[in-house]
Amino acid sequence: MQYVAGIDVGSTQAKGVILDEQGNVVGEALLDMETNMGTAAERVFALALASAGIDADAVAFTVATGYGRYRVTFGDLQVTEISCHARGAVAAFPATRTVLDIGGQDTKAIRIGPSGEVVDFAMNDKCAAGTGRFLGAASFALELPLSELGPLAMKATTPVKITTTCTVFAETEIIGHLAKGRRPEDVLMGMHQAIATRCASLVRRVGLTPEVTFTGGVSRNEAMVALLQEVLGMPLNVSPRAHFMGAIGAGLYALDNARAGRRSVRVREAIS
Amino acid sequence: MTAPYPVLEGVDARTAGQRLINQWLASLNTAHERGQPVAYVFVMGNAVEILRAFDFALVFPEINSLQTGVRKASAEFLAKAEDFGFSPDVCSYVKADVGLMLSNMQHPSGVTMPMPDLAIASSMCNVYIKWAEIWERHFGIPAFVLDLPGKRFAHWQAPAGSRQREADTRWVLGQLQDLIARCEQITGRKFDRDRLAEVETYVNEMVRLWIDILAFNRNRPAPYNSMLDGLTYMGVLNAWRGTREGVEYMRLLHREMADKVARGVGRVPNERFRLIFSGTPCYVNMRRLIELFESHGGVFPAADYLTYAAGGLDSAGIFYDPSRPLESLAEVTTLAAQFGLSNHFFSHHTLAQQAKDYLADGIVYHGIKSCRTVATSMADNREYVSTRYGLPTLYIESDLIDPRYWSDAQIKNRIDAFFEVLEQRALLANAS
Amino acid sequence: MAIDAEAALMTLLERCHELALRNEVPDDEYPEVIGYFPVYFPEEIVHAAGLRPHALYGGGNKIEVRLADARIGSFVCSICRSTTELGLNGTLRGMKGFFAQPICDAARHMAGIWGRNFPRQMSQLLLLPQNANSPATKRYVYDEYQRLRSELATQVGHEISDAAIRASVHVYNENRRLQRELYGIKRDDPARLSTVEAYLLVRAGTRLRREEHNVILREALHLLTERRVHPRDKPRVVFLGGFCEQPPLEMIETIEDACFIVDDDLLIGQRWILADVPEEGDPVWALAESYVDRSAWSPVQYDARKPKGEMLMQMIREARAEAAIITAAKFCEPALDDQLALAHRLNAEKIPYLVLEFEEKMTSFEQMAMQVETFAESLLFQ
Repeated sequence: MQYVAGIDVGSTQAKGVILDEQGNVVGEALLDMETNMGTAAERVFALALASAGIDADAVAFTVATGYGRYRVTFGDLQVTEISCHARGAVAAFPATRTVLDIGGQDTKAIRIGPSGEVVDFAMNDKCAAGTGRFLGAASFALELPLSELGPLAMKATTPVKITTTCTVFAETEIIGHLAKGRRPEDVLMGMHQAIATRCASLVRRVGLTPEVTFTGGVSRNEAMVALLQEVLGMPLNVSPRAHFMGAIGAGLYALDNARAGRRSVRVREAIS
Repeated sequence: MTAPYPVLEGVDARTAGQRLINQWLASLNTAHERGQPVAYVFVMGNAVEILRAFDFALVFPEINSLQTGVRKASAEFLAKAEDFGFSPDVCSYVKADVGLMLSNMQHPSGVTMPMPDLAIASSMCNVYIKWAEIWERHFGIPAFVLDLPGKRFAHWQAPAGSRQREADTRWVLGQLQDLIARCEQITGRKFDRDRLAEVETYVNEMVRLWIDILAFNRNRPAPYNSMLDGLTYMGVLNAWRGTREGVEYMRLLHREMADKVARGVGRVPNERFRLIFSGTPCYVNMRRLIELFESHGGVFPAADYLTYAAGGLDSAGIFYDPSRPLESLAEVTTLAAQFGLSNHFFSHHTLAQQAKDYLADGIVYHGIKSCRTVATSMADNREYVSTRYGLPTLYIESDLIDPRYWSDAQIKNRIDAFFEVLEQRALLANAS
Repeated sequence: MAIDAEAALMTLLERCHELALRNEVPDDEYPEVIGYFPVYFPEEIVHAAGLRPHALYGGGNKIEVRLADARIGSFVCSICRSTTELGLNGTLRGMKGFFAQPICDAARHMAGIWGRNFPRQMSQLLLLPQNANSPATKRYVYDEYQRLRSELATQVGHEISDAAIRASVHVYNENRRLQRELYGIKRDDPARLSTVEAYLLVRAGTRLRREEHNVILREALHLLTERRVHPRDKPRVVFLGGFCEQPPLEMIETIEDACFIVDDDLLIGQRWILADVPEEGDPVWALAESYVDRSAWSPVQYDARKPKGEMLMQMIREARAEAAIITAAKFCEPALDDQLALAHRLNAEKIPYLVLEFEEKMTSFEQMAMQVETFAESLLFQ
């Protein structure tokens, strides 16, 4: 049995998965990012291997993705997370034609063709509004952990309209609303709505085609899922593996290469 | 026009181009000493032919500003303008020029830019006009605004002999006559019609060669990269338009390109994908931007920049008639404005056509943060073109010269992903 | 009597408010509607064709922009996005035509965006010149107006006669006189008529036939004479920046809480022609000549006879103002470029001023109120 690895080195987290010959996930690991992307990648790889109960020699091929993909010294190939998220989403939900990935730092909308290939993509990678960071501002202002934001927002009755488009001013605006006596859940729902609107716009830029798969860390937020379904007017596929979608996609590209007979340089060196 | 001009003898086009640009810049240092009047002009719509007839030295503030980017000095100039009070959202070319004015006209190229005796702004970019107003206040000279009537809608036609063509040409002719009177006033010289005719014959030759050079890139592999090499060619075309030297340079370039085509030599060693570029360069990261594409075997055989930033003369459809120099100047200028310079707003069909003509695999749209002339409707244009024509398109964004808007990792990411799309498409196409 | 007048005025203003902010152009709208983007458009020619000119001033702060963001670049003013949104969300589906003028680069793109997205509406640029100073200018404007006339004639299926245009000019001359009277009250007796009220009265005209608007303006002017006025001591200021994208009403109110706005450029396109357009002779020539020789000024129009600093000083003098509020819509290049020049001139003339940026979609004004109050206080304590 041989295995392949997918490593996703993002700006906030590093993720690694080990896949078997059939493409099943047999090991996974997730770490918060440190300043050195290279060592973070090595650590998450080691943890993923441990989780799979194998060691590095058993891995035939490794694909690295994410912003730090060129820092993964043991990576055999670099593929962008656009292609990897698309691949991972289609693997989880074969009828996927649109992917929305809201990450900590950026947001992407990807349109997928009939053969599972990326046809078009649009990114919001300059402005934090419309990304997970906008919620980070809310988390800070309300002094609540990120995981509690969704459930609290769902309790809103009269959401507050948030007009600021800048994350820097979002905190001020939230505090202003709270000072005026608005309820935290209403303010929070307003924040979610602002993100949903921006993300829906990104999706429309590539063309909204069902089925839509929602990936990335923010897809674990139930309020976000509910809002996006409403704004886009259709149900969304959400995977419990959302965090790992990019790494899984990378792993699947690694599997393609392994099946084509390509071997990792590491392995070739070890054999000779 | 017999023997080649000495400075260009025995050198290749690249060297020739560099020499000519340096010579032009150096001549600006001493323009006033030599008694030469100085004109500030823009690349999209000017009346260089008339100015040559009066022997004006030409300053192109757009070139000054882009050079601050190329020479990595733009951040400092922009900071000066912003400290002075200009909003960050104002066009970065304007701010760099304000920075230059606040630096006693000391330009990073080593040239002390001369002050203008005349400034000509055209209506092809509204910011030109605001820029000219800044000069009016700073230098105390009145601006000359050349209003060029562009395309009114996408399928605009103005056939020869039509009332519309006559009306528009009449307007431009009237303004050119006003300009001549202004030049006579400033220089104390009389307008020399024969000199205008002579300048026009040089321009005709340069444009004829330029049209050919643009067309050479329809070949596979493309002999030059329009968004890298093309920028130098265009620089010479603008700064030396209407001169013997300019003609010699274009001839040299033409010979070299024709030769490359004959030998099948491409700019990019392994030309894998051909792309149309819409937008302006990012001058502060010019090479890096192109490298990100060339590293994947991507080349730009065509770019709309080479049309509009070179006066649009390749789109006019006719050449100057030196027997009626002023009238034909008005006519060609009007047509260049309508079909070359004002196409930004309605370029969806022309881009698709270009993709066909140049055997392109896709279109890259480069949005510019501070340039609304280029960027406002790019997203809409892209949506239309990719849906209607099924062409893969990429949207990236930075700025002309503001380094704060260049995000290497993000831009590389988008470009890498785009090539993954193109590769996939190629694979699927081969499989079927 | 005075109480009835006030009540009647309030009712009139409420109607104007509803009209002013109305954007809907349904399918069966009659007369048929031709929309135009700011600043100035020769409405008389549209009116003479039997069509209704519909000035597009954006979606204000009540509209949700959902569809337009995918079409328009990020560093572009809000009025472009909200206008595109009004098209994409069907609000303007009944419009028969869309015109934009070359006031700025973003506006020129609107014609292209409109044409691609709404192919059944005539979408064009009306190329008013940026060179007002040539002997050839009037002829050019005349020819461009004749082009417009012929396009509209095709649209309605019949010729538009000179007599019809002259008749429209007559109606619009009356309209402009009435607007000048309103502005005269604002300047000479600002406690009698607030800028917000004048604004609603003027903007309502963009949703009515001009003849109906004339009736409303005459009625308003009459009721105003009967209004009981409470004198107040507020600093007199001029307001600049409202020539295209409109500041929210709440913003104007915020400023008026602290100052009298005795002159402004709000909706200036509606008052662009400053004196009567001649009603004899060739009416299209009269309109062209008026555009060149009898018109106002703004950051989007170059004219060597109207340097911006001079025009501002003239405005301040004629309005007997003591200070200026110089605003710009976010990302509005022409206004931002001029702001600095105007500030420098005001510095040189030692006239106090406040510089602000706004967006039509703003909903919170506390920060701005603080700046304006502080500014007004500084004027009172001079």
